[in-house]
Order: sequence, then C-alpha cells, then structure tokens
Amino acid sequence: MASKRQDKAQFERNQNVLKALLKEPGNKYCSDCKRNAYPRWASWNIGVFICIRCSGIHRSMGTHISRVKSVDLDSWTDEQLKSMVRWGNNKANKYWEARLPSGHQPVDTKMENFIRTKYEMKKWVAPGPIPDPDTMSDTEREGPIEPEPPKKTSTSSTKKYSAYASSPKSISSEDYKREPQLIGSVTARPASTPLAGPSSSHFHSSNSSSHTSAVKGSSTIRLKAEQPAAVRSPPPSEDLLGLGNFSSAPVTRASSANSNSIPSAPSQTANLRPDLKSSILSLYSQPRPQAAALPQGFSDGFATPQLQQPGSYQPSAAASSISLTSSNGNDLANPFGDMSISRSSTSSTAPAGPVAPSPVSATTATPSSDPFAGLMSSNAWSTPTSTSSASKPMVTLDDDLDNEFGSFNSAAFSSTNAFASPPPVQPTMDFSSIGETPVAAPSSSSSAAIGMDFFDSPSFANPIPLNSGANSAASTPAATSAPANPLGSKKGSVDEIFNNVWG
Amino acid sequence: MGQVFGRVLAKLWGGDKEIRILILGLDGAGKTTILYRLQIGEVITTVPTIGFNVETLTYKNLKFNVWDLGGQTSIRPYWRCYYANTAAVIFVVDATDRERINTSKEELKEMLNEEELADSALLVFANKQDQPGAMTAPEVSEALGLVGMKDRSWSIVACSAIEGEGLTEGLDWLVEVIKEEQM
Repeated sequence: MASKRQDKAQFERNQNVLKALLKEPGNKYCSDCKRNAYPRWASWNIGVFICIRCSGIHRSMGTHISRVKSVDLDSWTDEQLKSMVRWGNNKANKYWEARLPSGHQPVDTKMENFIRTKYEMKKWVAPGPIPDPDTMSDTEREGPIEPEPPKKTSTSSTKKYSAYASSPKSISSEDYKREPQLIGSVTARPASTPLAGPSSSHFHSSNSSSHTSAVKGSSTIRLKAEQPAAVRSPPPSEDLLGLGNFSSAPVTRASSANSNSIPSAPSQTANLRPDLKSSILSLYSQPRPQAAALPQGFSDGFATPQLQQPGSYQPSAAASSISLTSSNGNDLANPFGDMSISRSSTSSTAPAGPVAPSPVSATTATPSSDPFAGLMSSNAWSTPTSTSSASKPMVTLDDDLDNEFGSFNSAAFSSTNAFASPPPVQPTMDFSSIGETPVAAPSSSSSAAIGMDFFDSPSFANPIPLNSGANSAASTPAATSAPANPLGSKKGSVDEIFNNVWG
Repeated sequence: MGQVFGRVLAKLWGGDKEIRILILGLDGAGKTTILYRLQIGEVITTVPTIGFNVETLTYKNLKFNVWDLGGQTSIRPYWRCYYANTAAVIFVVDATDRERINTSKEELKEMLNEEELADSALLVFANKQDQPGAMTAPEVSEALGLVGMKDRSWSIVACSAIEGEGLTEGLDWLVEVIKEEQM
C-alpha cells in the first residue's frame, strides 16, 4: 500500500514535470511536423514532444531509434523524464535539424519520409557526436549551420522505404529523393522569386499526386517561398512559435480553428496568436466544476453514466475530419476515426465540490490561479463529444455482440451516424485536429479534446481516474490556491519541479 | 426444437457464430499493424491506439471478431473489460524490445490469472522479426515464462507484421485449437 501510494506520488510528480515542460515555448508544437499544437506524445530517448500522428511514425522505426510514450497514458520513470528535461524540442532540433533552415516545416503528406530521414538516416544532424544538451541553450534554432551537402541519395535506404510504402499514399522512392532537392533550392533561392525554380514545381507535382486541397497547396507554396527570407534574417527570439515569417502559420491555424471554435470563448480564439502563452495558461487555470467525490470503488463506476462537466467541451460541429495521409484511403481512417473522447485533464484531481467556472480566469491568464492547478495527473474520460469524421462506418461491429458489448455498438454507431454526412474537409490539415488538440479547441474550453481516436464506448467514456481520483483530490486544493507562476518564470518553475524530483 | 437443431447444425459447420479474439500487448508491440495486416493484407501506418480497433475477419470458414486494444500503461487495466467470452488472446510482443520484455511478462501473467480467460487459448506473437537483433520465439517464450504452462492451450510464433511472415502460421494454430474445442 505504501509503495502504491509512493508510485502514485511519483506518477503525479512526473506528470507535473511533463505538464510544465509542455509549457515551454519550444514544446508547444510537435517537434517533427511543427504543425500540431499541444503534443501529447514524446520520444523519450530523443527527448522531443510530438503529436500522435508523428508518434506513430516514430514507433514504426523501432525502439532502437525512438521510444515513444504518451504524456497522459503512460507512467514515466525518472530516467525517461530526465531525458525530456535535458532535451526538449528546441535543443533536440538544434542537433537533429542542424542542416535545415530555421523554421523549416515539412510537407504534411510526407511526414514519414521526413521523420525517417531525420532520425533514422540522420541526414540533417549536426556534425560530430551527439552533444550534451546541458551545454546547449534552449533558444529557437537559427538558420542551418551550413547548407546541406549536395545529395547522392542513398539507394539502399531508398529501397527500404519503398518496402514500407505499401499503400498508395506512402512515400515512394521518388518522393524520397525529392525532399533534399527541395531543401537545397529553398536555401539558395532569393526571396524575390518565390515561385520560380524547382521547388514550386516540386510542390505542384506532389500535390497533384496526393489529396492535398488546392487551398492547402497554395499556402504550402507560399510558405516555402518565404523561407529564404527567414534564413537570412532569423526571426526575433521572442517569436514563441518559431513560425515567425511564415504566413501560412495563421492559415493552418485558422483551418483547424474553424472546425473547433466554440462560441463560448471567442476572445480566446481571437487571442490565439498574440498571446498564446497566456491563453494556454488560462486554459489550464480555469476552475472547473468537479466530480470530486467519485465513487470509491470506481470500477463499479464503469456502469454509471459518464459524468458531464458543466464547463466541459461541447463542440458544436466536432473536430472536422481525419485523413490518414499515408494510409490508403478511407478504410484505414476507420480504426482511428470512429472513436473519440474529450478529455478533461483535471476532473478527478480537482478540489472537492464544484467550483463555478469563472469566465474571468478563462479569458485572462489570471495570476491568482496556479497554471499547474489544472494539470494534475489523473484524467477523466468524458463523453466523446468531439468526434472525427470517419468515412467508413464501423461496419464490423456486430449486433450479435450486443449483450456483452452493446454499449460499444451503440456508441460506435452513434458516432458513425453523426458523420453520415461528414463536413467538408481539408484533407491535409485535418489530422492535426484529430491527433492533437487543435489550437482553438482547448483554448476555448476547459477540457481539451485529445486524441480523437479515443474510446467511443461508454465504458471507456466513464470518468475513470487513472489513479484513483478521490485520493488525489487532497493534494489539489493546495495547488489551486498557490500563487501563479508568472509567465516569465516558467523556465524556473520547470527547474523547480525538476529539482524536487531529483533532489 | 428447431432452434436446437439449428444450433447443432451451426456447430457442425463451424457455424455463423463469431469467435471473439483479443489482441493484447504493450504499446508499440504491433497489435494494430497485425490486425490490419490480417484483415486487409496490407501494412498501414498506424497511430497509437487509444481505445480499440475491432474488425471481423474470416479465416478458414471461421468468423473472427478481433479486438485490438490499446496498450499504453494506464489503459491496460481496461483490457479486462473485454475478457468475457473470449475464445483466444493473441498476445503481441515486440521481440526487439528487451528492455520491456519483463513488463510484457508481468502483464501477461496478470491477464492469464483472470478467471474470465481461464478457458481462452493463448497465441503469442514474437513480432518485429524483420528487425536485426529480434529475440527468437524460444527466447521470448523463455522470457515470458511460458514454458511451464500446462493448464492452457498456448503457442508462440515468431512473426513480422511488416513482412507478413508468421501471421498465418499463428492463425492456423488458433483455428485448429478453436475447432477442437467446438467439437
């Protein structure tokens, strides 16, 4: 019992460190695609936070290259955590993307190619041995250390990739060869001729072969076109997002915002770009009504209806859609598309008794609440309110099972029905609204809809604290009443927690 | 009366009854990849399963209802919600992940202690044989402590979901066991 309590204490402590790390500016976007905000997954040996989609690609490389863990669903050892603290996205990319121009954003449809090139082939790493992260500064990476050497594409690895490319949208060896050219041309090309040269034609051809929509395609081109400028005059260091000159950043954000905007908090959505940090903090500091007194034997709670938090996320139209870019079409979107959950990160740990949602703290980064207050470790699954549009119904669920698994059936079918007519989607971007919480969604609601491929079944949708919420409730009030860490001292707070962990 | 007759007939011909199979194992072992490799015969790009995937697949006249459950640490406790009426468990192990083979062993042990699974067959896949340094089936069997297990039909098969090797071999064994039980 004692050791169990200790485990739990450690679990919570480690969760707090992770949450604090995720507030670092560099860790707010997926370290690989740079597109998906709020990464909830990590490769702990590499030390980066990544989105769920990139995490899938990391796993496919094997554990000798990347060891993936979920921030929320896995328990972390001190060693694993330490690696995350020492590295983080900024430092890691200083090594792994040293030869890429600062702010390089990989093409959405070629993420597998990009990630394998980055970590497996180590194509863009800084020369020499892997540096000690403790000696590196945790700032935004500036331009490439040197232009990428002209490439002779390694044929053996190209072969290997084509072996993986069993579905139509996977990388072809041809695509694989293109990426280096693209990068080279971007760095060399003057900004005044944005669309000329091989890189734009590259984009056109790649877009036509993938399912990229026209809108997305054009914004991608623009983004690439502006890169040379970014290289010559590095973005100011206060640019939190590292997306400085990229006009496409707002474009992509907006596209995910549309599908998730929640009427109740328009100001935050509007706020998003200028003061992302405070809006994130306010998100986490927003008090929520609590289902604090969970039934002690919460295993019985499987049968109880899920507890709906008044303040929780109630998306109007749901996260727009899925496209598994590298899978072959709709069939494969299914396994990940039919299930969803919206997660409320605090519900089981928060103070006993309902706390009225305060609009003030929701819209401003109120100094009176601790940014970490809402970040305690346990999670409550609430209903899958936000779903993704699965293009294929979960036909394989069978009514025969309805005695034991009726609940699954009904849940799955209801979500399928909900998307019988999926909203028009923008294929390329959509995954961001699924795999990871899109920017707009969490900022305007207290419960972040995470990983939309969550349990769609009432059983899973029940608020099941990962570690009994009732017990942990005790620790939370203290956290809630603690003074906020000022934004500026965020780094310090991480260190603080970290020091507490390792003494 | 007619119902009984129908049931007997169904039983004789393998029937219309779906056989419930669970695919379990640690996160990143390859459960989802195996499921879809079996179902559509292709390697798909997966993302971590949070929740489950379920597919029906027909193999040698048997209709399987295959549930692939997410393997992250904190969702493993929910596996047991799916145990009832399970004919067989396919337990997938990442044979390259020596660091976590013990965790695999613990999870397997805990699972097999569950009463609801007392009659279920166990097929272990030692997956990722396409990678260098993967443990062999006997090695995995040893590490998981399968060897002494007497009270259950079990088998271990080395496989590579990416290359499609070993999967049908495993399923063949499963079909055999299940058909035997139905007799």
